Order: sequence, then C-alpha cells, then structure tokens
Amino acid sequence: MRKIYLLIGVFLTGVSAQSFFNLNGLGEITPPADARYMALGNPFSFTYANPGNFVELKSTSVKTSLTGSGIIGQQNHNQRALGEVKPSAVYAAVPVFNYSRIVLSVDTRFNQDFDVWSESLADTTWRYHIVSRGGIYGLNIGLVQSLLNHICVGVQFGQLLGGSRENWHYWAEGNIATDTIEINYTARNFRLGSSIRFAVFSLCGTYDLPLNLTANRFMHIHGVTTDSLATYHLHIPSIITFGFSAVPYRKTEIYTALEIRNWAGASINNSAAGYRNTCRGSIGLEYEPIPAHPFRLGYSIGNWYCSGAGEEPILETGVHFGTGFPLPKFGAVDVAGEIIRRTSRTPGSRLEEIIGRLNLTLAYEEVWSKRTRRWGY
Amino acid sequence: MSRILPWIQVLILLLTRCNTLPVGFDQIKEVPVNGFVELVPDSLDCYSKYVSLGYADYLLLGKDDDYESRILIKFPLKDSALDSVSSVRLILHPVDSVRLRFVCHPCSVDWNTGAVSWLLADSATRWFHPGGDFWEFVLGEGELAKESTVVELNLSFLSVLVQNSFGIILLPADTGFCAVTNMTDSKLGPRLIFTYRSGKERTFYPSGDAHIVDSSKSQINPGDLLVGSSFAFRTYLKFNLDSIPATATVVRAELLFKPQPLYFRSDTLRLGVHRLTEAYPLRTRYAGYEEIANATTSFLPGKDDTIVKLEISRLVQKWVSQSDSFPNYGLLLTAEPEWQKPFRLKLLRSGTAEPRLKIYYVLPPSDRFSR
Repeated sequence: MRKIYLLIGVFLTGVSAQSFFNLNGLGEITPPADARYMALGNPFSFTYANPGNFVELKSTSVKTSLTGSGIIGQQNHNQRALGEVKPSAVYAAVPVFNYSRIVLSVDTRFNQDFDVWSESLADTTWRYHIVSRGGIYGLNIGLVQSLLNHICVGVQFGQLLGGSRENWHYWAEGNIATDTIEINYTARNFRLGSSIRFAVFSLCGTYDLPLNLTANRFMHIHGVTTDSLATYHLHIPSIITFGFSAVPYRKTEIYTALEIRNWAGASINNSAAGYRNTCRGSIGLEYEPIPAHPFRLGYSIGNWYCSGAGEEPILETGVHFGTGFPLPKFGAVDVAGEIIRRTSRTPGSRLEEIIGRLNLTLAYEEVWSKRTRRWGY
Repeated sequence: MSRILPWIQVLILLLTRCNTLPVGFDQIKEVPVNGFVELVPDSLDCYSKYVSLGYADYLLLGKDDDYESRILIKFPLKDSALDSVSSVRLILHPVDSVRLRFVCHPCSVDWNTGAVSWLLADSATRWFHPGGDFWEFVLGEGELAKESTVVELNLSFLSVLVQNSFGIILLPADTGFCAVTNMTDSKLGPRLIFTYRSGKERTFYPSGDAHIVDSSKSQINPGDLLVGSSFAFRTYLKFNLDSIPATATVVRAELLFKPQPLYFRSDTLRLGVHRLTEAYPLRTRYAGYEEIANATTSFLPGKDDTIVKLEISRLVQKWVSQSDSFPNYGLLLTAEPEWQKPFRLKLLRSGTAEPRLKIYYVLPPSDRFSR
C-alpha cells in the first residue's frame, strides 16, 4: 500500500512553484523536471528534453519527478508564501534497431499559476483575489539516431496543449462576483537536437523552430452574461540552446550551458508582443567521491522573456545542489534542491521572490536479460 | 511517507490560505475599471390602497383623526339549544395597555379573512357601506383593559347572531388604538363562551378574524410620495440604468432616502422594496410586482437625519446584464409587511433627501494578450 501511495504521489502530486510574475506574458518557462540536471543549474541541452542527447542508451529509460517547492514574495514590506500541487513531467527513451531510439515525453513548457490579492480599493473594503491555474504542456515524440558511438542527432515533434483559468474574485468578506478568463492553447513544436562526445568532452545543443501558438479566450462575466470570445495568434521566435561538459579531473565533471531566446520579435496578432531577447547561462559541477554517489552544485543566471509591471526586466539567479543514489534492480534516484531569486522593479517598489524547490527524480532503467526457452519442461 | 504527506498538505494549505497581503498585484498591467454612479429617479409616483390585513399578527381596534380600525371575528356557532343559553361572553386579550371602549354589532354580510378590507368583504364583494355591513342594534359594549376583556352579549339578539349574522364587528368608541391577540394564539385568542342554564359552558373559537383600516380622513397632498402601512401607501421609483455597461459586475447597489415620518404608532417601522413586473406607466396602481421583497430594512422614526438604505445589488445586476429577459420596470417601495400598525412616511422629490440609487460596479478584466 505504501508503494502504491508513493507511486501515485510521484505521478500526480508533483509540486511546482507558482510565481507572482506569471501574470505576465505566457508565464514562467518551466525547466525540464530532472533532479540530476536541476542540481547542475538546469542545463537544458543536457536533459532528456534534448532529443539528440542519447549517444549511449543501453536500455529503456523512464524518468519521472516529484518536486516540492515553496515561494516567498516580498514587496513593500509585505510578504506572502505560496505553494501548489500539480502533475510533473515524464520522460522515456526506448532503444530500437540500428542505434536509433524513440523518445516520448510529457512536459510543462509554461506555468501560469498565480494567486494575488489586491490592496483594498479606494476607501472601501473590497478587494480582488485573482487565482490562476494552468499552463502549456507538451506531448512529445521524437526519433533519435546515434552515429559512430560519438554523435547523436534527433528530431522531436511536440503537440502543445494547455489552458489556464483565471478567476477574478471580487471580494468583500466573501465573494461578491467572479469573472473568469479561460484560455486554451494549441501549437505544434519541432525541436532539433544533437550531441557530440569525444573522450572527456561533450557538446550538445537544440534548436526549436518558431512557434505559432493559437490562444482561444473565453470570458465568463459573473456567470450571467454570454461568453465573450477572442482568438489570438502568437508567433514565438526560435530557441537555441548549447551545452558543453568536460571531465577535467578524475571523478569530476563540469557542465556549462546557454539558452538564447530572441523573442523580441514575438508578436500577438501581428502586433509586437513586447517580449525581450533573453540569455540564460548555467554552470554546474558533479563530483563523485564514492562510485554512484555524486555530489552536484550549480549556478544559473538569466532574465525572463517578458517584463515586469514596471517594464523592467525580471532577473533570475539560482543556486542548485543535489546528489543521487542507485536503486538496485530499478535504476537511480536523484535528489536536487535549488534556491532561486527573482526581482523586478515596479513603480515605487520592487517585487522579489525567493523560491525553494526540492526535486526527487526516479530514473528507471530496464534490465535486459535473454530468456532461454527449454523444450520438454 | 504516508504519515508525512498529510502534514505537507496542511502546510501547503496554511501557506496559501492564511496570508492575503497584496504582493505582486501590481504585475497586472490593466486593473479592471471601477465605476460609481449615483442616480436619481427617472420617474416616480405614489398611490394608496386598502389592503387586506387578515394575516396580521394581531387585531387592531381604535381611531384617531387619521385612521380608524375595526375588528371582525367569525365563530362557527351551532343553531341548537339557544333557548337554554343563560349568557354569552366574548373574551378578548389586549396586547397593549390602552383603555379603549368599543361596541359590538353582528355582521350582516359574509366576509373572508384573506381578502377583507375597508372596502371589500371578499375579493369579489364590496361592502354596501365601507367599513363593514352590520346590524344596527348593539350586541354588546366593553372596554379593552388589562390582560383580558369580557363582554356580555345581549341575549335578545342571540338568534340573529347565530342564524342571520356572519360574525361580530367591533367598532371603537374612544380615540386611541389597542391591539388584541388574534385566533393564531391558541391560548389567548378571542373566544365566545355560551353558558347554559344547566351550568354547562361551551367555548367557541374563531373560524376567521381580521381588522380593517381606513385613512380617508387623513390630509394628504396628491403629489406627496408616501410609504405607509395598514392603509397602504406605495411609492413607485424607476432609475435609468443605461449608463452602466452590460458587462459590469455590480458590487453594491443601494437605494437611499431620508424619509419624513408623518404618522407612526410604533418605534420601529419596517420598509421593503419590490421589483415591478409590469410597466407602471401602462398599468399604474394595478402594475404587478413580486410579492417577496427584494430588500427590507427597519427605520427608527424617532431619530432625526436617519437615512434608509436598501441593498438591491442582485436586482440591479440582473437589470444591467439581462436587460432583455429581465426588464427594468422600476421599484415599489412599501411597508413590509403592510399589516404593521399604521404609519406614514413622506419621501422628498428633490434635494439631498430625495431617493437615490448608488451603484458601485467593476468592469470585466482584460486577458493577458489584449492590447
């Protein structure tokens, strides 16, 4: 029973942080849910999200993560703590014939969860309480080919689906009215990935083709008027990521990565979306003093693609750490923690949020064995 | 793990629910517009009406320069052994400690508790004489005083009372008002006790009772906006809501006015506002309205400068957002209920004390992609 509970927990009760900045743009870009790489600063191109990252894949591999997180927002001497529960990502890679692989995954691309309260309005006690739940998710399938035991290239198709539901509660000692904004998203995403490994060096990268996202909006106004409909066509330019790793010393590996989003050209219904070009860098160190028991440390820095309320950039820095343990006859379990600090100036104040996450990833490695059939028994 | 998970859930609930400080709200680039309008009536009118008071909590007897109230009580009397009756006593229990003399007559026309009024015996029959039709001879006289009143009825008219009458009507003989308990009070309600020569007694309990009120003697200006009870005064108000967008959420809508009490007999006056379901300009005093009040309030007439507030947010919300299926025919301001002890309030047609409708509303939010 305990195992079932744990399994259900792993699949269904992943906790991912919401952000007070999720009111802007498409929300927070969600990093791949993999504790090993979270501890190394979330280098995107090294994770299973890169379809060209499977130079060596001996057996079927499945990774699923449970992430517990909390956030503390600070503004004008006010503090608020938040947390929430929602499903996490699952990645699977299956080796097939002739050094090719099939990769499958379900992941979160954008997180649009937030929960904010207004000040009392004017000289009254009325307040807004706005709660949003939702995001954009990817159902991905990819084909990967490993070449010469050193090179790997892959292509991944992702059907992006998702939606958000913003409830605008107008509140005065109890709900007075609720207006609801529902947005449904659909898009198709193509990602190219590759990696090269020679001796102690690895180089990898991904390229996401520009994304054409359709957003259908339904607005329910206090449940009595008819729905107000609108359709938005969003054009999101390409994403390029690079990663480089090296083993300078025995038992030590260094990871560096870069994510480049030239999203200043993003548009909504052919009008400039007002997004920014962003660059996110990370560096991580993995040290393995005892075999199969590594220690990991990472640092990342970057800014969001959208601006805060004061049209100032949203800056993000993070410190990441973690370790891993082998699980006999199963695979491994990786544990990672990260502390992220986000800030953005707003007129007359500054909004700062500190996020703490604890990620647990179960990595299942299928154990292959040849089955011998004996006749006569 | 199974022990820890519930604690994690409790912790998450605590973190998310306990703190409502306004962190991050300014990240919303377009906060929905808040609006406020204060409207004065587009059209208004007043009418008076004799209303049935059969379902009042008490029976009111009395008269003064403005009002007169009479009591009707009906008993299911049996036409048997009338010759052996030695006395007939009417027992009443006053609610107020007011001394008030009255006379009793037998009613000559049948009447109905639920429909009887000063003008009508029932919903389809008018009295020949407004105020009730009764035999001229006096059945008995009495004085309401203390905890109970006993009236000895004249035995010479007993056969008329039993065979040719429809209950007893009580007419006030003095100035002043006194309420008595009605038939809904099983212990202290009116009773008629027949005593027979054998010493036996038989008690009859009412099968119907009511009081009827007239205010035709009041000095009332035709243009006054009045709200009143017993003899009902009702004020019609209609506010034009076209200035409020159909998509607005009505946060609060209050009908406010500062009434001038002209006449009252109790410390607390209760008022209500009803939604009209028919156009008043077409149907005038016969325009239909919802029986259940949309809002009620109490008013203390002794205090100066008391502003009456009636909260009608839900009604205004429907008028604004469902104007096709839920048309705004206006409001009817009434005493609530109208069987209260007589009172009359005057509403001013202009100035700061005139009726106003204050509406606070908010327009819908914009989504994250709207430009």
